[in-house]
Amino acid sequence: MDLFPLYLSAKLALITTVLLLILAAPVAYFLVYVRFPGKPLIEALIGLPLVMPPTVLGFYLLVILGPKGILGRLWQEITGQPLIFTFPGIVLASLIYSFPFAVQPLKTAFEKIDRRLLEVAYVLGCSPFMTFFKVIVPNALNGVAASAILAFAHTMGEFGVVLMVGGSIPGKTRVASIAIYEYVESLRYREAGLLSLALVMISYLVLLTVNFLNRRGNHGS
Amino acid sequence: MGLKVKIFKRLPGFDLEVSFSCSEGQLLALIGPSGAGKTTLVRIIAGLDRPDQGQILYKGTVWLDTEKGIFWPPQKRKVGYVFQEYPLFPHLTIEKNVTFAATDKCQANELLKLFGIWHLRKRKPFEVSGGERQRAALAQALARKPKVLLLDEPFSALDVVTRKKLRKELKNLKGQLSLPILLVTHDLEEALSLADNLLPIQQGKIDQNWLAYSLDK
Repeated sequence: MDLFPLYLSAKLALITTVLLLILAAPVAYFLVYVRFPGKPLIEALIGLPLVMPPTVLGFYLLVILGPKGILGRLWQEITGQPLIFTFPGIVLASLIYSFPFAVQPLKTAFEKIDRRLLEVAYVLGCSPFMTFFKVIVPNALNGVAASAILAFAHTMGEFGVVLMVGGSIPGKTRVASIAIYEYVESLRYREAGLLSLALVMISYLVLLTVNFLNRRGNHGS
Repeated sequence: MGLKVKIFKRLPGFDLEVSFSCSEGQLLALIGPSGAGKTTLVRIIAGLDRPDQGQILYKGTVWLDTEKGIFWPPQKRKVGYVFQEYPLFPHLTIEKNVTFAATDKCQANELLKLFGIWHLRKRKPFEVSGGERQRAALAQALARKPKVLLLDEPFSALDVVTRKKLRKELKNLKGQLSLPILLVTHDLEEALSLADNLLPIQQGKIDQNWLAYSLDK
């Protein structure tokens, strides 16, 4: 059996997760701590991938990331490569698709932190930037872990968006879920079954890790 | 002159309008019923809230002047602020909490010993008692070598015995600190036992009548 799709899925999920944590943390911070007009509009926009059919999201991404789209053209000018049907293309699509899954747990964790802790840090001389790393993040580790795990799991199982943006190019964009679909189409149930089993096992491990971290991460306060 | 404060802020229900000063080594008790605007006042002095109008001067340095558009953020003012039911950083040990903003590690260790929490230094805040947490909070505030000390109902969440003990400790400590200390309290007995001067606040205004009335009672 070809294990490359599984490797590709894991690679995609890992890269997406790391990038998402870096991008989602400041967004969650702004949503929780900064007052600005139009916040509900921004929040709804971020949550949109949660409720939108993946194929619809994939279609719009195909347009934006395509050779005539804003991002696609920009990328082509900078790197000389297209975004559509490439690995960087599906990374970008996954970032948008899994963004709410990374933001939400961080937001919830930040909201739970006693505001006075931040004020104490300010009074003790910490800038908001330092306070973020010295007070907020250490007290939101459960949220960081949940965010990483959800983003990873969600990207591992991605199908519609990746298919629209990346197609199914073996070794490049043919991730596990697409490979399973194609195995079934060509009636190769054994391979589809094995690959599915691998995904189930990964999901189970992910949940075990979440539960373990939840139990360990409580400060008891 | 140590600290000079003149503040006006519109609050829901009434206006906070007070003006006072507090010199080095003096403990001034801001006394009044709950909801009189005392906490808002110390938050403004700490830089956590902004008044609509006002001036705060520390030894001639302008921390706040709304007319000139000067506002020093809390980081720059260097005040020690102890909240009611003080939230120590739950992820840090007592020692790390106290040394969080310490400029001098040795002095921070001295403070841990002074407040009798040296033996608890490796514990997390949730593993020590309320009184020990408040001591750690005082040590944390003092470890930064603050210019002004603000105590916002620091003992009100403690049981009577611990409260009396900590009051005594604060009284002893006061002599060693040569900085303006503001103590927010609604407890007249506490104010009378600790303060050099009383500043009665009622509905956002200084109200000596309220003090006379309370003393009569």
